[in-house]
Amino acid sequence: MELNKQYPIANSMVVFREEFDDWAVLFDPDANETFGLNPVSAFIWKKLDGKHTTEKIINLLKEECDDVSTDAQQHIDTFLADLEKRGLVGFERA
Amino acid sequence: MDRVQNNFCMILRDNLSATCKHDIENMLLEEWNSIYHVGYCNNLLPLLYYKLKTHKISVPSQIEITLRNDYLNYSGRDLKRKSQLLEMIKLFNDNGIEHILLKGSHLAEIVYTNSALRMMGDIDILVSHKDIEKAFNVLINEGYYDGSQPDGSNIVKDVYVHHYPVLYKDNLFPVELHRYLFENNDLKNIDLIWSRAQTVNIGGMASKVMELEDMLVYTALHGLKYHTQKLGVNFLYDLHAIIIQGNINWDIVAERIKDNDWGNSKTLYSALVMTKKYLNTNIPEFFLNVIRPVDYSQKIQAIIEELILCRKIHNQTAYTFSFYLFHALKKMSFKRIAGQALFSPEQISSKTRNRYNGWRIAALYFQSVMSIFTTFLKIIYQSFGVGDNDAKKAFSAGRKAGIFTHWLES
Repeated sequence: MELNKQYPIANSMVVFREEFDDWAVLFDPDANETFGLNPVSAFIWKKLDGKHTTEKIINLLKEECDDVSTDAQQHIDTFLADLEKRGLVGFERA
Repeated sequence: MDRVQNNFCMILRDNLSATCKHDIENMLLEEWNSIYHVGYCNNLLPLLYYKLKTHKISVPSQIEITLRNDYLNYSGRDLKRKSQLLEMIKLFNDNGIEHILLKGSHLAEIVYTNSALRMMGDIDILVSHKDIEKAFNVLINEGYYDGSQPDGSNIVKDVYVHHYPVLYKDNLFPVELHRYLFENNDLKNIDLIWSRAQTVNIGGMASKVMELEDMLVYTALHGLKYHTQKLGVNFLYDLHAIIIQGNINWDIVAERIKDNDWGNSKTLYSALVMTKKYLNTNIPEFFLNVIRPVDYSQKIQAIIEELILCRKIHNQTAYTFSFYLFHALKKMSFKRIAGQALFSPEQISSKTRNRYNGWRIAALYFQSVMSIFTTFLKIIYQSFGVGDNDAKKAFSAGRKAGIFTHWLES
């Protein structure tokens, strides 16, 4: 199944802290590791609820931000693959 | 106070005039680097970034990127700290251990609006006398280890009278379990502090913190009397943060600083005058007039200002030695110099993490005496106005702190 038809879902154990400047921090208590997220990544993280496909997330991003690049799908796939590798996100099948 | 220090304090204030903002935004890159350095030395980088953002101050991009990265790192570190703290509160509650969160943990969780803004290096918890042994063992059973005795033997719990040996666990914050608030336990009101402590909800769990009025007086006393060498603008900001909570009852504070309770009007007055001056904190004038010590002078104020603004002291040995030397000379107490300078074998054991009855202690004791002797010679050398700047600065700060402490105790 294509990645953009899947429903990514954030690991519920991971703590997400949104900062006052729209950047954010993720904390994985199991690994005792933290990760910084820029505002776009933070926006995407908030949509990882198992109800949005990546395609839908990009559409929401386009509504929210100007100048979303044409290769956004590729960026989001890479971002999600990285999160999956770290155990921070999983995928619900449609 | 130079322009950089002045602008740094202006940035930390809650309100900023258009003129000030304009002046800050017109600083040269070199001055911005100095602002960053002042923030670093005062453990205030996350707060500096937050204030710059909330005041909407334009910052050179390289400074902004550095500050943002620092902030995210501190915020991540704070999430780890919070997770550790919650685990500890759960352990204590499950085992019926009465505790009060002290210092940074209290300030970060209750006083600061965003816990990431209050940097800290360890977790301090006050535990009741009846529970402290149990609390220590509960943490040991959870994998914490006594840093003073890596092999687990000969645990010396009386070295630092006010807290048990620091507990460590890999990649976590060190933990200090306090049985008293200060090293020489010179407080008469420890039972009152326990009785006035308030129950708070931390992450869904019940814990306790000092009442805000107690916390204000404690913070002033802790900084100005017991940690003079670590004073900085962060000390003032802690007081500012407590006060802007808006719930301080100043009449109660005036009652609490009497001799039968905290008994420290001098430290509180000195600290509040500085906080008002540098951070424009709203402290009622009537209250300051009520608690103003009769012998408070411009000279004392200048000394406190120097101590707060001179961060960072690198040469702690020169500082500590000159501090005790001048303080003791003022009191004509040479016993005190010797007592502070010549550590007991138990103290050396704890500081160097060696067994206190091991053969190394004798050698370390000799080394300690020699180190004190050479420091003493160096101080005499410095007193003739020669030597490196850092030692001079440390020597001067130590001398001033000694004079100030003498004034506090007079």
